[in-house]
Amino acid sequence: MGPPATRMDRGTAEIPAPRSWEPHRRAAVAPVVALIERSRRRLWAQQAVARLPVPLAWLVGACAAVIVLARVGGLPDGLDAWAFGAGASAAVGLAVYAGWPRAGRLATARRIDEHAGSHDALATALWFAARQSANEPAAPWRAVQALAANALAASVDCGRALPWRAPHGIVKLGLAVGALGAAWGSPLPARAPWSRAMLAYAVAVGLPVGTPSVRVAAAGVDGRELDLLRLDGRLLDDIAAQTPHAPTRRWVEDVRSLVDAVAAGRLDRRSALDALATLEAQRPRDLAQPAQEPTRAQAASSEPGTADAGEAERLQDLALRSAISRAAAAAAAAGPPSAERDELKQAAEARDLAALAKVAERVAGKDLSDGELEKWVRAVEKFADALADRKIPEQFQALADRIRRLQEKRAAEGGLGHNDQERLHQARRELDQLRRDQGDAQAAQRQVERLERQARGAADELRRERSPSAGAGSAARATDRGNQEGGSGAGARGTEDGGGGAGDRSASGGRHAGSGSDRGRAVLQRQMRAAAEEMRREQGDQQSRQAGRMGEARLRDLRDALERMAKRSGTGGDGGAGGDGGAGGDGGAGSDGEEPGKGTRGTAGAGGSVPSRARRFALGKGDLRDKSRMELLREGYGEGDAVARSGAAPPGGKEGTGSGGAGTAGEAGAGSGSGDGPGTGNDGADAKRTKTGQDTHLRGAQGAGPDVKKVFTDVARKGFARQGWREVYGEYSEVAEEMLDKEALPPGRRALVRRYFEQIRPAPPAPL
Amino acid sequence: MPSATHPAPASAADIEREMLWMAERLQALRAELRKVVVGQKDVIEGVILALCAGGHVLLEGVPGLGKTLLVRTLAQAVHLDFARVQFTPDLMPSDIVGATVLGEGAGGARTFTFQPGPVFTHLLLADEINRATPKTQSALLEAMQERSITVGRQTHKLTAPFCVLATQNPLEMEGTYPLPEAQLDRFLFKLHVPLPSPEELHEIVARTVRLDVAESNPVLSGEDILRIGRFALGCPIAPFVTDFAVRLVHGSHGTLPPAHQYLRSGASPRAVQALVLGARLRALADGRPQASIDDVKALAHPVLRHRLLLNFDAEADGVRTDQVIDQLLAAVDRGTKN
Repeated sequence: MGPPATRMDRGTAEIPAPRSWEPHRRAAVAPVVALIERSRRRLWAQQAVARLPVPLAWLVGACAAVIVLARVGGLPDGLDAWAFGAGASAAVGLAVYAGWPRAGRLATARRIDEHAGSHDALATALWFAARQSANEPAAPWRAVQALAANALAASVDCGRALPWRAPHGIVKLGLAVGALGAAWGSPLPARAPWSRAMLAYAVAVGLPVGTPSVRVAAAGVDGRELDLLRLDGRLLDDIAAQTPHAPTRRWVEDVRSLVDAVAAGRLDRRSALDALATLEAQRPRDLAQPAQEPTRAQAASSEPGTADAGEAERLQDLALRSAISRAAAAAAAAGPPSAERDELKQAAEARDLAALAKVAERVAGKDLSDGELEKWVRAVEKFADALADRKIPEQFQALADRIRRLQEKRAAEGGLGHNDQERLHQARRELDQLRRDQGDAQAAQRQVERLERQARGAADELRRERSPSAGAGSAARATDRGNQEGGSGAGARGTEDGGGGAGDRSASGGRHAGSGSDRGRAVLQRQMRAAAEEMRREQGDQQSRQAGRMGEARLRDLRDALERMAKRSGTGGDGGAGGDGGAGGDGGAGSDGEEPGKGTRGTAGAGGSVPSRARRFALGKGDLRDKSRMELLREGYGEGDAVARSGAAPPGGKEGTGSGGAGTAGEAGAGSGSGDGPGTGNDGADAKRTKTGQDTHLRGAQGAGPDVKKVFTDVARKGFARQGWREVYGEYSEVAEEMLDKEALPPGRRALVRRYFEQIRPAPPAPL
Repeated sequence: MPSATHPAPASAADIEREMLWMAERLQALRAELRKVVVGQKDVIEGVILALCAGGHVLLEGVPGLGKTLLVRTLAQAVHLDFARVQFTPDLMPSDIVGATVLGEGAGGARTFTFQPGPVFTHLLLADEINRATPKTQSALLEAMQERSITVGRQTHKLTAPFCVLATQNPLEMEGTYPLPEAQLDRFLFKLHVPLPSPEELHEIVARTVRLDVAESNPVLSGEDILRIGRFALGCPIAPFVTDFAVRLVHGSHGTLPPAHQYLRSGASPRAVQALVLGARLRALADGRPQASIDDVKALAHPVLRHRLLLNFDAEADGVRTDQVIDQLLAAVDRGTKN
């Protein structure tokens, strides 16, 4: 026996490469070899093209998905490089995969034979040429086969035998390329509607999802809000640059940083609210806060940092500035005709404390004549007299008393007549106008009194120097007045000045009779410089307080914006509820117990009559127990609470000057919900789907109605047999054999019965 | 085997000449058969191949399709002895093979002499072979396989070529004795004789219902048949063609899904021999010097349809043997292309 047949001998292996054959055998079938090699290369290219589309379609589709995710959901930085590297590696792998393995020679030859209808002529010739030697009895046969194959190879057109066909997955590749082009070229919205609710929820709970712009967008901040926040940031820059008080300036810069962080999406809502609360508590308040009596406004809003407190502070500063400006105007009227007097008049009209300080400095540095000195002394006296003027506070008081009396009358009588009502409105308007023009004179009264005492002391000192005979008494009065000063710097300075001045005067009262002008000038200079310093300090304090108020106002705006973010994240819809509010005008007269309208922003529009998308996504009542928040956000349908709560509406108009508070909120709109109730579909019936069908149960009372019959056909189709034939074959076969032995049957019939049972004999189990 | 009269081809030119001669002779034989037999192209081709291969053929068809006419015409065309035996249930084995009878010699002595039966011929038509008893059927087994008859203690060789063409009626199963698998396996081919088409029926009427009925002329001799057979045996066959036949037959034993599902028993190694030999003859008859997988596929049905036994699942599903063979071919073809 020879060696066992190998795979090669059995003809299932590949034909080896022609270069390994004997040369004469290769030459015998050279045309066939050339044709087959040429065809193999063509087949390889065709297979590579045929195999590439589907994996390429997957790759292109994955790239499109990555682009979409990057734009909508955000990907970590640096993923682009990884994606490119991965894509390039995948492309190389695809190319290798597509070209591996190459079609075999035997398979290629058979394919050509099949096309040519040559009945394996090429394959047979190639095979025998590769395997058999020349010295065999079958050599003549192989020669004949080779001749026929060579003739066939010369006539075969490789291109027609192996035509190019459209790759299997070309449609899929086309769709994937189209998707990639759409994802690349189409500007996907930064806030994809379908992901807004989910992203907003994630941002709301502080999850770091998406790119910054996506987070900002998902948080529900629209473009206008972002613009306003950016404007606020630039305004805060200017404020900080002009704030002399360093702690305040740093605080304003912190506010600016917070606003910028929110606008750029670097902070999520929760972090922003925390930072905001910290900044509100950290506002520097160690300025020289004027002692003040709490006004009605402050009583109504006792929390510092609120709009009311800021407004009260502003009015108080305005009142002080107004009082100083009125006194400066009176002093200018008494001063000597000069450029300084003109500047003093202009500064008084502009209520510019810095300009007043500058004028005082100039007067202090000027070489005054005796006459000018006298006039300036008189100007100082007029300044003090004007500060002592209580006309404005009396007007405030008179109007407030009138309003109070009319309110009491209305409360007592249950209403007011038409004339009284008009008087009440008129009084309110006048009071409001007076407040706008002059500030809160009552709140600034103590500050004005302090300034008046300082000015009076300075005026008396100047007069004493101008009148040496009254120097001792004046000195004593000056000393007394100086001792009455409070602990403020100006008061201390006044005390020092007054005391020093008095001491000097008492010591040299007789000696200065001849140099009273000189001493007067020296005192005037000192007083003017002190006044200039006071003005500058007050100016700086007021600027710092203004910076603080504006910073607090920006923080309030930011808080409103964050609250709107939260509501929009819960709403998930475009546009605010109710649309834009109307332009905010001047605040109207306040009603009972209310502050006059103070919003420079437009009042928020009331909830629109058309239910907006925002409303639908409100959380449903009573659903929180059963569903997660995310489910509710996704569903978004239900009888939700009204969305247009305070501050929910977008700003109605551009903010005006000053730190206006937020406008009043619009009316809360009625929530509208729509949704699928439970058990819809089959009224009165419970439909339960099963794997193979649907069971329907009908509940009803027995009555004279139509019957419903249901036929089960499964058993009829499959029969009623309980056991398979494999289980019963043995018994039946044995019984049949017994009957064959017993009964007298023709041999042919016996064979038929036996043949029948042979045919139905169960087949053995399949080999594992 | 090469004979002294016709040595094996020594060169390619000899082979080409032999191929040309063979193609011409067989073409002439086909033509002679078509003069008498209308249609039945596949049956004629199968019978010719089986005759050249030295095998036997089982013809299955309803009565009146010309099975007997075909065999008789074939015998005339190849100038071979022809015998026809009508198998009946009362047919005895001796009616087939012959018997020893007591006879009187020249000197009046009584001796036993062997009277050969109808099997001693070249072409034996066993008509309705399934009507005879198994005992009688088995008497034909030795003749078909061994090419000899043993009567008593004496073995009598049958002259080559020897070909049994048996017929059976697929309709009448009453009173029949189906051939056992062992006997079926000895037939090289099982050919279905189809019903003629309307055009063929017209042709049949035109040729037969007339005064002068055509007859065939001898175009081949028995020696030519043997020569063709030897020539075909020398034709090399590519191993991948043989491998296809092997996987087809091996798959019929349950390794391929269709076989496992529908077959009770697969084909024997004789099937592989039949496929390979028949593929060679078919290729040469077609003028090709190489057998191909197509030749194996073309012969799969005649070779396998009587060698595969269907199980109950196949009969319950109404699956026929030819359908199972088609599924087997498809399964093997898929494996070849992969």
